[in-house]
Amino acid sequence: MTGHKAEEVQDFLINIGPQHPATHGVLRLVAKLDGEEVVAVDPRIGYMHRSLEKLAEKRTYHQVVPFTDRTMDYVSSMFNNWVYCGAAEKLMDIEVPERAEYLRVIVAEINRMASHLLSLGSIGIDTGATTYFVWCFAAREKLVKLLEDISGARLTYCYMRIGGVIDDTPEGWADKVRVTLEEVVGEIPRYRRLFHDNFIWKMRSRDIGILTPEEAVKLGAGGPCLRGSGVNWDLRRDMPYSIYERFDFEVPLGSRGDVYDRMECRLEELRQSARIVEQALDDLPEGPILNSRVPRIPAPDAGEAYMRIESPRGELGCYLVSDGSYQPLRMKIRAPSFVHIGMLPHISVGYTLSDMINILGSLDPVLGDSDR
Amino acid sequence: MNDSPETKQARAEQARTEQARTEQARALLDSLRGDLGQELLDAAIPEDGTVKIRIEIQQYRRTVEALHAHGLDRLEFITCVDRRTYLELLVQAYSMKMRATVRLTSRLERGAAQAPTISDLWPSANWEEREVYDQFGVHFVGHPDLRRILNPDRWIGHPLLKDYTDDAVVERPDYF
Repeated sequence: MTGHKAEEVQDFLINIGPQHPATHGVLRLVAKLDGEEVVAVDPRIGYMHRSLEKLAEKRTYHQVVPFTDRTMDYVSSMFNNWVYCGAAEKLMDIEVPERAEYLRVIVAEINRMASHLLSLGSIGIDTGATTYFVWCFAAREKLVKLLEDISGARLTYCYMRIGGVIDDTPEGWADKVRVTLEEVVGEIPRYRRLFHDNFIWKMRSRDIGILTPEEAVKLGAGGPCLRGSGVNWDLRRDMPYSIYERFDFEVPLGSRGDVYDRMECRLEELRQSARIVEQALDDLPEGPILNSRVPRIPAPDAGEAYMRIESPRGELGCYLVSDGSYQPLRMKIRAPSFVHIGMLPHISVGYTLSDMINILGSLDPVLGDSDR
Repeated sequence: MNDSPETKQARAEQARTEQARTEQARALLDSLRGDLGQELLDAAIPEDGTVKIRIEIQQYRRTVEALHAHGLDRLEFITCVDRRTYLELLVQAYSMKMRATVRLTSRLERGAAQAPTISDLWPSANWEEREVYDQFGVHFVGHPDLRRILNPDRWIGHPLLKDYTDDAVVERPDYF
């Protein structure tokens, strides 16, 4: 080319968003590029900020529960219900009936599978494999239907209450769950043949977005993003809450910490979640599902409580402070997506722009979760 | 409700692991005491096994460095609680190896709240501190990039303060 001198080429800024073409939500990325290569990236979040934490300060403890469905991670609402109710139960020292604990585990694990299927499908869109997206959504639809049968809603379940759950299983639900889970787990080999063993996907994901184990721990990664790097850590097993120590399941691990490993962990977790649900259905005891001694307008003693659970995205936490009145003094949500989007500048530098989109997809962020 | 033998066994198992965790927490607190000595204003391990310590803000940076050196490798969150007369800065971290959690609190003055940054120790503190700055107006000295994060850049005020108000805030009637 004439008139082109290498030293004149400068980095340039490119703006992506605030819309994302796949299902990740309203995120804006300001990327600095050198040709195709990402030199720096500045994620701008907050487009979906609804200030849940402020809203909670003006509500009674029970009134906060439906907010957690809508204003947090709307792809896995059961976990939001759970983390809030768990923190409130700790704060008020309320016991949850045995049957309710089992029902919580069952619906949460079904929700985890639905959430992972959405993540797997949308990385298909990110890499141009639209068929895979449709397959995953077809399977996810079956799981969402199960949750609809028990809670009445497709996404914003509001199924848990402080002290238990609100509805018992409908007639024949347990059998329907077993059949559906078998169908969904039976799809996994098909997914492998179509997508995960496909060499195009491997080219797009192997050794892309590498997160070393040390970095993953330091950056606060959780869930499949942490385990994809080979860090053997799962809150369900290592800091057990609820009744998880009664179930037998494996924690799938990656080895290289790249995009491929993270997605592989999610795929394998589908199988493990189904295993947990099977065991919980086998042991499901009879009895009450809601602690009847929870006051209608609770005013717990001044104090604080923290609950952390393993959500499909990572470590979800809720910190509640009471000053003795009927409204929380402060509620803080430790959102995994917030931490994971914060990791993006650390792990996407040096890869191409199209890889960065892929890396973002592999972190599985939900902007409702990060912005709250 | 009658407990089956399995349930009883599971409960006993749970109690044992909880006890082990509390012991871990106690050992951690003892070694922290040895390191920090007089600077801990208040230290306790409540029922849930979290080590709770309170310090003066002048010792904040030093204490966090000590926590980091004691193997608390995971920063969970940094936040603030508006206690109306003062702000409480709160840092929670846990150790994957010891499975012990530490919650550190420190009192900040309202109005001119300031604290040193800890984003060089844990990189994830970078965004956490930006959030605290955005919502509470706490200025983190030495932070590489202290900008608003959830609210728009041109926003006025810090929404999570109890005395925050703007045109959109509607006072709810007191039902009770």
